Amino acid sequence: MCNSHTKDPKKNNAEEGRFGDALAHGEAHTNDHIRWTRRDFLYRVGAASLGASLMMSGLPVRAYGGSNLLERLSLLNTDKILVIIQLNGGNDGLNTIIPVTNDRYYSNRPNIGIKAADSIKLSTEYHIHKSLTNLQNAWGNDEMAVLHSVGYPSPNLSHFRATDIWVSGSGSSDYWEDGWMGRSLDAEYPEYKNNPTPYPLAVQIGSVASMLFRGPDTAMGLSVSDPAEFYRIVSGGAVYDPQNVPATHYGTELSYVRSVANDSVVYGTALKTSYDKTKSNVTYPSTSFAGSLAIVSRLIRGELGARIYHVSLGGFDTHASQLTTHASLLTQLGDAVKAFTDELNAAGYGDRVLSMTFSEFGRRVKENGSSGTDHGTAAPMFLFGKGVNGGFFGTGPDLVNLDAGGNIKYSTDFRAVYGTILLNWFGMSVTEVQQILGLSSFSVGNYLPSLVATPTSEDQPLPNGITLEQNFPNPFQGITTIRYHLRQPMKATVRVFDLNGRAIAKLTDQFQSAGTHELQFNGDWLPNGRYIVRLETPIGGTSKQMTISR
Amino acid sequence: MHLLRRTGFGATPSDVSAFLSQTPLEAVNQIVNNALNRPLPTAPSWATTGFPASTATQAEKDTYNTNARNWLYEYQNTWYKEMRGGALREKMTLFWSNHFVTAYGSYVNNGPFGYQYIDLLRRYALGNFTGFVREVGKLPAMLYYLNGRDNRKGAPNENYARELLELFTMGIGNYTQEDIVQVAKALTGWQVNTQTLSSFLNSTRFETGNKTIFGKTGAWGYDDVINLIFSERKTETARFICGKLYKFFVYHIPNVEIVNQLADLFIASNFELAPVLRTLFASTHFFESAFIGAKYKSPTELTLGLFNEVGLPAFSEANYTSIVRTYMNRADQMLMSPPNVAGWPEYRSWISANALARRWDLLGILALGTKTIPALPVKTFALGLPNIEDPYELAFEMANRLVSVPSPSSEKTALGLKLLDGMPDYEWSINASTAESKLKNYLRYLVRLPEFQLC
Repeated sequence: MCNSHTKDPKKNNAEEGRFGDALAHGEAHTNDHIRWTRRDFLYRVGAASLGASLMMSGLPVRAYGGSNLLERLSLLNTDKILVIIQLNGGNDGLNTIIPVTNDRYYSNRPNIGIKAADSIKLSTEYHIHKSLTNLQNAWGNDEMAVLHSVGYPSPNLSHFRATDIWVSGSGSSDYWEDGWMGRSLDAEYPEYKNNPTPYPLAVQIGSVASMLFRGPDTAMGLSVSDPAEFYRIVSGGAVYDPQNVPATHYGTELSYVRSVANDSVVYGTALKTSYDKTKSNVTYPSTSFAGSLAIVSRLIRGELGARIYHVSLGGFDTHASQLTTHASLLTQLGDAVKAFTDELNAAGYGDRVLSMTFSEFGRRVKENGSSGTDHGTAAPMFLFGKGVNGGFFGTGPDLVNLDAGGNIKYSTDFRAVYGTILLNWFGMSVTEVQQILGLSSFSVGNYLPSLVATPTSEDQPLPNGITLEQNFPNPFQGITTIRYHLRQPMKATVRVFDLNGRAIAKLTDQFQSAGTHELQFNGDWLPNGRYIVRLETPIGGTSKQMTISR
Repeated sequence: MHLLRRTGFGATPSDVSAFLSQTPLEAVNQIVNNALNRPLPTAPSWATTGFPASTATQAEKDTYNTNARNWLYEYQNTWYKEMRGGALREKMTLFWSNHFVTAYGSYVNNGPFGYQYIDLLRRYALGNFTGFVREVGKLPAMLYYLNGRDNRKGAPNENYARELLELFTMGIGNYTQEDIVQVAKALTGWQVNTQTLSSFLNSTRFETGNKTIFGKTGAWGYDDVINLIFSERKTETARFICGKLYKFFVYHIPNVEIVNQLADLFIASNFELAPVLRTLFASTHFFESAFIGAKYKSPTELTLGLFNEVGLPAFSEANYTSIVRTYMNRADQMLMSPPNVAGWPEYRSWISANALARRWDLLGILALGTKTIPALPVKTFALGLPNIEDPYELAFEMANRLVSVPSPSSEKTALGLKLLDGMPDYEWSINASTAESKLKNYLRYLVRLPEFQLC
């Protein structure tokens, strides 16, 4: 173990020391610490003896230390990826998805209203801005969802406050300091701060770190604008000890800088490796926004392991002469998204990657005197990907019943969209999602198909020699053992479901030798009750019930 | 050093010895007085050159636009150089450029606007905040950046009105959306003459009639808005500004009690800034050890601090340009061009992984030099230190000069070994042929340390 947290190994234990303020020491100590972490991890994996080599996205999962972390990891019975596209400045929703049959739209926007003939038809009522022509394909293939009038109660019209609300996932009057994705990742990787993953959980293409990935007490993501350049600078850099710092404000900040420095050095290599595995297979537009998506695509296809990516396109604050500016921004958006999704679809990633757009607010219904629009409220969001149910969702903008400021009232709460994604895309549990979003309930959208499986209905009689024994002990508290037999080498998957059929843990999922196999499952983190453990193989599957009782 | 680093951009060795003979109170008074009395720099030759008359040829207009852009770039360097010796006056100018934000991109063809803008920030750096607010909204740079010139009768543009309340004076939560609508109306009619480089009120574009702002109704205009802010939202504004000053000079998380005391003083001094700063810097709170080293250096503070504390290399104008426009920009701080109207977010955002990597890149270049950029004069710096023939003492002294929180003497050996980098210690001599390159590498090691990013 790491005794150097209390004693300096170089001093032959002659004296107690404070190390956080030691310049040369920070580095030397860290080497020791890294070894310690790895040893400790191996020990813990041994102790957990899941019997499975946990692999995620081709990278060994290691360096975790939490008690239920391994289970929670497998809980994410998914290799799904979310790409968040932020449109900074407040995108004008009404000129993006145009209500062409609504007279109020045209009477409020005599100069900047877009005519039906100048836009692309999605439905009788709604056209899309012609600069987004490249999204037509996705729409036609049911790989694009348009969520109408997304917002929240008592909307805020400040760019900065509204952005904070959207990225923190808070209510209008809550002031949260961390991001909804940061909290989600923290829920999945509670030991991240002390035992970071060997690859970044989330990557933001850009430089200034967004609050989006800020976890309760550490940054859960990495901001990088160019992986190759990043690697060149950080490679070979020293690694520092983020834990032993003075108990002062200085110590707090020093720990922060050290963590970021370590992330940079460690993740620089992971990024470079993934980035170099593939090249761009399609021609991206020459905009920097498209360049960001091209990087994301390379990292995804290079199997970096990050689950969340964040890119942004700025300039949507169209207070003046908005027609040309807005058209050019939407062209950038549509063309880049098309190249990105084409590339991922061709590479077979269409089912694994969901892209989502958001902006801090839409714009005022009535145009201003500068052929622009001032800050508004609810606006449409887009979702892209083969995993999406295509079409329109929610209630379109009501231009009659506006709020006191002349703005659109929301019909879908953005937190319900986040909740739906965490639930139906990442497969988190309802309780967990409610905790992350601070909501007692939210309405799940239909734009993402439910992940709920039906584990017991499709059982076939199994050929001799493939059996799943009743777990023991059962009922159990803490750890139970699950034993199964395979008569020949084959791929086998063992998952645990709750009674709603939601997969809550994956214990193994790989090609295995013939013979008897044992897995251990720790149910400490689950409420008392009945669960289903299920063995699946290419030639059939079978289930047993088990009960947690304390 | 804490006082000098926080109120300025580091301190040269001669500054340090001059201040060491003073009590903290004397030092604070001298710092503030120097800032108040520092002469304004000479205006650039193009400062009053306006856009050509409408009769000019297109070629003449194009030439103007090209020149005007280059003037802006030139002025970024000029300001950067002025900041190095400008201590608190320029530190406050930098602070205001991150408060009353404009970005030169919105007036890139009108370079003199950028000069006028910095000049105003400088003149009010420690001046009267009320007068400052009154003037800043009429600046051509601001009328361009926040669309004030587009805000006219019958068709108001809320952009400036919102930021005036949200970011420039009282902060969010102290006004309603309706206040913004009404303030925007009262601010209508301002336009810019690019030939004379001045702004003016065009009364035909002004929205006459009553407006209700903060519950007060009248036929308000521009000056009335400013008066209403300082009469109806006096405390809120004073607290908002003092809170920002606290964050900038002390720590990111404000001590509400201290901020409120400063705000009371701010109001009692009729919104004069100098007494507030004097009181803050002279307070025991400011010198509490918990805050020492707890502030993140911006790229400007980082680089100028090195030039002051290690020494200024023989930079050419092109060197300054590449540091200011290329390397500092990559580390997320392009002078006169914050990312948006809220400014650089400061604090931990200076140290995103990306920004930290690029900061390391910049620091490595400064420490080692490149073919075109001269390195920091580290040997000259070392020659001014005691015990230079003892590598352990020298390494330790260098670290403690540059890093805000001193190292324990137990680190002396480890630091000395870093400096020696494999050389036996008995071979060390400041005059050894390899000494300079070892010093450069050791400096690079020190300045890349997490500790050095804080002050």
